[in-house]
Amino acid sequence: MSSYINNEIKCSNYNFQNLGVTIKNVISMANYCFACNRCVNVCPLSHLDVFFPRKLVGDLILSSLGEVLTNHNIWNCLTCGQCSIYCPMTQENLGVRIPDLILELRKASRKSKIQINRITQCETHNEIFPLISKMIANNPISPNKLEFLKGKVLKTADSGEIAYFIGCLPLMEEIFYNFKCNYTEIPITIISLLNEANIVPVVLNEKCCGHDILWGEGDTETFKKFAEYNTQLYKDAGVKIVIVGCAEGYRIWKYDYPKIVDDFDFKVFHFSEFFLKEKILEHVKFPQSSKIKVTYHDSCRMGRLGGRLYNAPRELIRQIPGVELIEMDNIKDDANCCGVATFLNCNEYSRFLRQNRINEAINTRAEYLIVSCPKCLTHFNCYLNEPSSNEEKKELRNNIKVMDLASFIGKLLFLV
Amino acid sequence: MLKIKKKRNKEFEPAILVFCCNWCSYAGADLAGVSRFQYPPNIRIVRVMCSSRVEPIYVLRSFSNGIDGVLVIGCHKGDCHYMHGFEYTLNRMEHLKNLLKMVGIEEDRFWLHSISASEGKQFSELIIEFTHTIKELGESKIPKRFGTMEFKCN
Repeated sequence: MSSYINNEIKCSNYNFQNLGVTIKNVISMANYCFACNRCVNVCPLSHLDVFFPRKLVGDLILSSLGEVLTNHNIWNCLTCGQCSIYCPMTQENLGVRIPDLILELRKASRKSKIQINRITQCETHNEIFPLISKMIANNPISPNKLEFLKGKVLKTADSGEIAYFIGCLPLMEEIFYNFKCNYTEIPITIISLLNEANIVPVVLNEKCCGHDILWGEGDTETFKKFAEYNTQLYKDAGVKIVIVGCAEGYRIWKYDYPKIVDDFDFKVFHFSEFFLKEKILEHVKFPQSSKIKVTYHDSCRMGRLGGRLYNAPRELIRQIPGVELIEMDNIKDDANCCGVATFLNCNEYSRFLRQNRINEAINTRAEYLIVSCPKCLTHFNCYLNEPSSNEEKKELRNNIKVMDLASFIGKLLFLV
Repeated sequence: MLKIKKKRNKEFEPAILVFCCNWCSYAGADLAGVSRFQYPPNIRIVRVMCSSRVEPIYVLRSFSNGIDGVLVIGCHKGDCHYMHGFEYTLNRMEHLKNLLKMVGIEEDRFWLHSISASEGKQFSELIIEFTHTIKELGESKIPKRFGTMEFKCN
């Protein structure tokens, strides 16, 4: 307890919001640790000498919070959740839970001067994503992002029981226009497949889900605005089931909104889960084609941090005739990170992690690397399209193509 | 009390940011000044070497700092000092216009135009027209300086 009292004295230069509660939470979480060092063994960043989870947790128990935050850079952590899988002291809602611990620390310390400097150092894309989220959250005018559906023969409704959450995909389409990732193919495929099964989904002009602003900056005020706006919008439309097309939205809708919104009573499904449940792929006929070899990359927000949704997307791929799924070396709980989460830290370390994962995928000799998270899609494509004079690098692009699960199905069915 | 009443009666004066390219439109603005063409004093000109230097984030950041309208002016197509500069701008700003719609900023708050070095008259006319549309739209709905980040441009 003495360390806790010390904390309050020594952190006078840190302006903590709700000092008592958050710090008690963090310290009580850290106290479970018995320093077995397993987290350091699996953390992808500790192999690169960047970040040591065990050291951080140990220091939290022994020294003051101010010291801990100056010695450790909490913004380097990817919050990929590898550590919490191997930690013997972590269970679903109990124990050390390092990703949650990092999130609490980010929430508490983000307003101090040292931390603001550190955030600005590791922000990517000129801080465009946090800026846009803050603008959208504070803007009384509702966003208009359904332009891309114009001219398409798709049935959408304004009210009903089943809703499809598009999220920030049209936004990313405009920001990363030179990558040609075709993010809007994902919602078009999902909506048209739902229409095939005579389901007319509710598609509204919702705001972002707030994943980046919560996990990347720990900004709970903005996140709360998003959560309240989106849930109120769907309540007014009479929605009971929410289908989410991306991994991050799935995590946020399923695990973070119920914590912050009072009467949350939606059933949340990832689209692969919903398609399996309603047997939607049986309604369509796939054209015959030669055999395609694919491999699947598990994203952290749908796997380790999102209720371990590993089998649904794999089952969906297996249902497609003529597609063979080859697994990589590290899958499911052990799946390697794509290197960048929440648009923080794009540097040589994250590049190394991306390279690692791409090489793993190439070693399976698959033609397509299928991902289910728009951020993995962006960052793998970014690595493959890097301008370089190296001949080997140029060959990489011919060896493998990165594609989202939904747009892969859409391409096969000629929907997009 | 008097002060507040005065402010209410006063006409809304928008704050407008203009990005001008060094070779054509800034010279055009210069010519407008030299030949004494009148235009409203609401604009502040930022000179950039080429209009394709204007990143989308500059426009978004200026809106978040309480600017009511942004105008990007470049050369005419094919006249660029750097051969293909304005074509890059056209491509970039088309995506930015879509982005602004998704953020919830009215379409007319952001214009892209081209003005050459000899078009002083057109420059002043453009500014008059743009200020007029912004005045009709009223103040920007986005609250000023909301975030935690301290923007370096202030």
